[in-house]
Amino acid sequence: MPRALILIALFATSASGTSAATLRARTLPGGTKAPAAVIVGRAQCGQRTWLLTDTSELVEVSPDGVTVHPVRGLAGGDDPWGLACVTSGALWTIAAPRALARLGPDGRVLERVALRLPRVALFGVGDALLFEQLPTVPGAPVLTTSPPARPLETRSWIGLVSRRGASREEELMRSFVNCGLGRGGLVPCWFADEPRITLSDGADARSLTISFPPSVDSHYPIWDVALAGPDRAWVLLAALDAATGRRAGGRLSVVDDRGGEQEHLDLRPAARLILSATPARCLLLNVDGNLTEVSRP
Amino acid sequence: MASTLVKHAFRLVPVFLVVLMVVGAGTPAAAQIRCTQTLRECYGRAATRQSVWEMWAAGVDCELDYVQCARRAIIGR
Repeated sequence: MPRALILIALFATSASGTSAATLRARTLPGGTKAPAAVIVGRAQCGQRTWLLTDTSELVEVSPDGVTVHPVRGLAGGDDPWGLACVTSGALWTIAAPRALARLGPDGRVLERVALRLPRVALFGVGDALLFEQLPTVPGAPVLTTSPPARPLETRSWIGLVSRRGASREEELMRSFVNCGLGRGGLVPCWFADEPRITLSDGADARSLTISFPPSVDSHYPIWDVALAGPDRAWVLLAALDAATGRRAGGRLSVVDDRGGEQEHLDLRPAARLILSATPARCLLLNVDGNLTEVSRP
Repeated sequence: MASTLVKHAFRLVPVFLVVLMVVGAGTPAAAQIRCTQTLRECYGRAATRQSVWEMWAAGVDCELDYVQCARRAIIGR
């Protein structure tokens, strides 16, 4: 019996610790904390990262700290979702499923663009918006691009392809897509229920499958991704945060271009998302509202 | 004595289920169950529309409601 326990312990150690935990974490000095409301959009514009909450707050994270702006000028019935920053620095959100809104840096709605088909996810790439619209069609690309103010000029984004399901409900449930922070026109996107990240520039795509230990939520394993260079990515893996009872990023991994984990760090407190990333450093927003900088040696 | 304990245990089943529902209300699995039921009812109403075009448009709205219902639990951060 003791021998069996030792074997189990050895197996568990080898399964979860295939790479050394060499990443270092440092909580940044406190200032304004990010709101606790659910974050429904994230966009990066140069040195700034913007977050949008489901209580209509636009959160600006810059080297100077965190600033919260209430979103003003929404129409009745608006329920903003998604946030994208394009090359010009303009911020766009899906104000309502059939309306885009351009937000000023102070949170004011500056422009609205009507949409023919409802959009349900929004990201930015270069000077275009990258989005998912309904109805999804199994076998067709999930994501599409268009210039922000010309929504009819659409182009399919080669990469993730809508999957079939036993029922339409299952197809819809399998169509939830998220995209992380890209680099040089390359955007990492993934289906919420898959451990596979697809990297695409819109024309060419390749995938990497992430392996993860049992502590990670196997149903929805990938929480967030940021590309750190041509052959590396920071990947936040999902876990249940014991302190808050919420799902969040419980493990941060650095993976190579085949998805192999190079380094990792178990996060306490867990992280809500990645705010910015370079090859050597990654800035996280924690579930407690503080910021943590993780660096590689 | 044993049968009394079993009876007490059965009386607690509904309480246990309610606790499970409350605790799991914000999880993806709970959202899936709740939103799928709403979607089926919505499809049923869409099928009663007069023309094929109206049925299609109403069906897209049903799917939109479904995505909006479930996405906070799955994609929200």
